[in-house]
Amino acid sequence: MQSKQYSIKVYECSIEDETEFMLFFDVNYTLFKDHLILIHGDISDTIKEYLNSKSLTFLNNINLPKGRTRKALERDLAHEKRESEIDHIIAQTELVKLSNRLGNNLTVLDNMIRSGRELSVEGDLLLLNRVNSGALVKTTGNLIITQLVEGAIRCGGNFMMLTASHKANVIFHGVEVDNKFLVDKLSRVELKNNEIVITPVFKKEINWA
Amino acid sequence: MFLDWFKKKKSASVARDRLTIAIMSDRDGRNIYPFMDDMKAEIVEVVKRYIGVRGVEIHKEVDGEFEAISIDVLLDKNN
Amino acid sequence: MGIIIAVISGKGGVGKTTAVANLGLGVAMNDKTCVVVDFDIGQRNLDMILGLENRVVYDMVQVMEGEATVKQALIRSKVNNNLQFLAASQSKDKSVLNSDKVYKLVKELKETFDYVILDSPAGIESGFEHTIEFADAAIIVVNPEVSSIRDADRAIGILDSKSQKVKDGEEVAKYLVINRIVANMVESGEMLNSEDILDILSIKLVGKVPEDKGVIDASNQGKPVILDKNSIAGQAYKRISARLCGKKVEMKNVEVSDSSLFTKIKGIFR
Repeated sequence: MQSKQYSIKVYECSIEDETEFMLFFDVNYTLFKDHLILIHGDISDTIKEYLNSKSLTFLNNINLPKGRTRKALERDLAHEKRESEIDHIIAQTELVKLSNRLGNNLTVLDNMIRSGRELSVEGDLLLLNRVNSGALVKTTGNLIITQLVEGAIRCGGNFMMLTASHKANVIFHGVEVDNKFLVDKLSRVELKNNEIVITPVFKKEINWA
Repeated sequence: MFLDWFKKKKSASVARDRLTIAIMSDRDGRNIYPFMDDMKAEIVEVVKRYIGVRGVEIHKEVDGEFEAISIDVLLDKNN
Repeated sequence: MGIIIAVISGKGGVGKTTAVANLGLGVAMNDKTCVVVDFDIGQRNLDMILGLENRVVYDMVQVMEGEATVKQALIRSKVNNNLQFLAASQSKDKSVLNSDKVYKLVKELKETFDYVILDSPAGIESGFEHTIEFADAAIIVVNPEVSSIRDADRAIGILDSKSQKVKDGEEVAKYLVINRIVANMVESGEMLNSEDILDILSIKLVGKVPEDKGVIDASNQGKPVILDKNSIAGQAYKRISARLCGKKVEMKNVEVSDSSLFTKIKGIFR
């Protein structure tokens, strides 16, 4: 697809007095001849004829998207980057906190668990990758998975930390965990006083500024 | 009268300076980072697993719009 | 699950109640359900600003004491169905506020409404502490004036040390509203400008509201100023309400007055 991107100048107005409007453009023609004239409110045929006779390009009753300045865009991008860095740091901290609770009987794996694979671990598991749909990961102990879980999980430990997609089937301590608590957000699932407690690692941010 | 106008002109900056001083002394000793103690304890825990730790010091530095925390971990000489 | 916003100031008379009434209505006008609660025990004010003073049957203390249900005590706004209001008690006894009862009340409100806005009493005493105790976010209202800013700083300090969220290791989101800005005084250096205020308080700004006679007019009539299309303060509250609902609204520079010849001449001397 062949395309071009460029900026144009817009002169936005609404017509109160037609004679005044036409006089304005008679006088200031050179200044505005390369502008796009944006007129709010209905325009009469007289005006339309006038604008056409002057070869002035115009639009009527349309709201143009007002693009942001480069500075504003850069600021937003920097902000997003900082936020994701902060999120990353928070996730790492949570990871460290929970890793400390992983027992000596710890298996650490770095590979993706592909569909059809069944992984059974005696003790605790730290998986530094994802679990694909159609795969099954079973642990007798605790579990931390750092990337997206789309497959089936059976965890028999006291806690686990993971992010699941809606396809995932997660069973913690024999109880099926409703996906909606785990989808799209990294969560800590723990057994506290015989109750299953799910806490999102990142709290819902309030951002009004 | 002209001089009065110049004096009035600066009153907001006088206000700003007075406020900054008053607030700095109001804030002295206020616990700006309530989680500091817990954070220190956890850092010690983590580092301890790898190497002997004698103590942790946390300093706050402000430089214009940047605020940073620097963390010094004092190691045990004997490891 | 809604969010609990405590509107605080430290110093009294800076515009908390006006802000609560107008932001509550503003948020309702943005299609969110909202309840505004007057936490100023013994000094009922929010009802008058909303024009609902004749409709109060039960107040929040009666609800907390179990003498009335929340449903019975809530009063719906005449102007917008999304806004409801819970009146303050007129009793002088501040000891009626206790953390468990306050928690139960705000929790029930949080489950029913998108926004729960609490109008804090002035000062930093127990009433204030109970208002901020379970807040998710706080809006701090200041006037561009030394006492207001200093007192606000104290209030923020207490918020940062005593709220439940902070005790849980989290942070209460804090946003500033600067109220009663007189543009030409800021321009001539007679009034603190927003940059200086933000430098001193170090919290994020959610809005600037200019001084406007329309505010008094509005409270006289019991019609929050946000309903007045010609009021600059009303327009400011409209912008802030939109931001509270997640919309990106550009900050209008209310610290710059309309260009006048005199202002231009003064500018040359700056």
